[in-house]
Amino acid sequence: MAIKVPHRAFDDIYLGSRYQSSTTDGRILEIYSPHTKQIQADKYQRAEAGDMATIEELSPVSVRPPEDEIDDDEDEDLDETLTERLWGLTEMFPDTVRSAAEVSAVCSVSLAKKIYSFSRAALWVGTTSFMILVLPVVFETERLQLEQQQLQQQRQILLGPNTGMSAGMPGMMPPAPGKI
Amino acid sequence: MGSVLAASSPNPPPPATGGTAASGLTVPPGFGMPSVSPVISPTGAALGQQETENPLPNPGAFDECHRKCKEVFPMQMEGVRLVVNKGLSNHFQVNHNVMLSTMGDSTYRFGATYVGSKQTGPAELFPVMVGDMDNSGSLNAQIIHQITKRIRSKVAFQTQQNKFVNWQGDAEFRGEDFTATVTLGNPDVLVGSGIVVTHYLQSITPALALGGELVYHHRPGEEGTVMSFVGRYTGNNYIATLTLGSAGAHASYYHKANDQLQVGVELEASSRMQDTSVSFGYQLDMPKANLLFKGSIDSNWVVGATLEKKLLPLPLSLVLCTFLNHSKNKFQCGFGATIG
Repeated sequence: MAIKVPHRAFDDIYLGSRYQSSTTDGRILEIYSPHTKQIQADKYQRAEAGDMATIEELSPVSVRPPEDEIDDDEDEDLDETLTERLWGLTEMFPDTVRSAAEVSAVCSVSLAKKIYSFSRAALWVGTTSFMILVLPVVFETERLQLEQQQLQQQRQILLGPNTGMSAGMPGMMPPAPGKI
Repeated sequence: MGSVLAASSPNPPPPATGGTAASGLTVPPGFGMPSVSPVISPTGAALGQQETENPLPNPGAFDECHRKCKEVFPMQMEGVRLVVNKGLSNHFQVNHNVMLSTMGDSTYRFGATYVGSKQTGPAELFPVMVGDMDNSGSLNAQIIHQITKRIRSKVAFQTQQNKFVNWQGDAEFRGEDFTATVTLGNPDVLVGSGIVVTHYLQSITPALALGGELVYHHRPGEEGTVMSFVGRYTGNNYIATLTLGSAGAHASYYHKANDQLQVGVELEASSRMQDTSVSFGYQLDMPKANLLFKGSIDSNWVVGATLEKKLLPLPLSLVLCTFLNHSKNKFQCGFGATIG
């Protein structure tokens, strides 16, 4: 028995493209895109469950307009991390600003590295050169000063507090304990 | 013993002249051995010696002018060195030299110095004979003699084990205000090779002396000449010298800041090796602390210092030397003790 389906109902509901073909017994058989399989399934269910002659209005299937479907699918597929989203925000600046910022950032990083390595090398060179060129003289002059001070102190102790400050070995004083 | 010690320096620096690098001869100061083969060694300026003394004074030997500046610089040494000097009599002195080295061979040298009895000045006695022998049999010997009042002559030879490496003779004539020297180096009559070096130095004013050097070398099939000019200006506490030649330029400036501090600056430009170097050196002399400190810093990133200390109750003196090359990151240190 051919099922006669009023053509109109499908026109109201279904907005997408569809293909039509007719069978030999006049039954309109519509080949739907996958979206409309649900419609077909519902229709047949109702046709089985209720009256064959009339088709009640199809309950609205949760038909989503294609844009929403596309959007939902995109939301599910896109997997952006937080940094990528923040980086994407920078795309709002004009190109000159972006390139200037990039150049200055790169330059300051490399400059900081150069300054760091230069200061390391300079510190090492300065310290070792000071050690070699200056330190022995400093040690010796300090030792000389200390010795002279001690001599003078001993001379003061021995000869009284008014002894003049003169360098040189005093003849009267016993020689200082050998500090060579 | 005093005269022997006066005529020969107890702590001789190894001669820095070009051809005799291996000799380590104990040379009395003022008797520098002129470089025999300046063609082989890069700078002909090693022979630039000059001295000025009195009004239109005799300018002295040709090598002396750069010598005063070079003496300010520390001498590089490495390893351990022990020197024992013993004076046997007024005329004769003997020294033993043990050098333990970290990069090279350790050697023992025995040296003897004989000083004659002909006296020409307060500290100069002639003839002077200095000889040195190595543990491997290498011999260095020098004989210096004052032939007449104005002519002084020197004969020197050097062997490496049993082969003669250097033999030379020279004669120096000191006029009123000029000095002329002729040196004949490695003359070989059989092969027909030899080197002749002539120096001439003339005092122009009491402070200024100009001179020149001519080197002629001859080998079978090859001969050549190298010429250089020397100018030296002496101020009241400084000496500035310039040597210009085909082998390059050498300028030195010596300044005596005070009793304790002497400073030298040296610039060497070599046309053969196409490089220049500037060195700055200073010498700090503190007789109260029995200390002699020399430091130098170079444009090749070399920093070095030498500390010499006399430990006085004993006739003992200690030498510590460090050299650091920053660009190659190489360090060298040496230690020496001199007894007697």
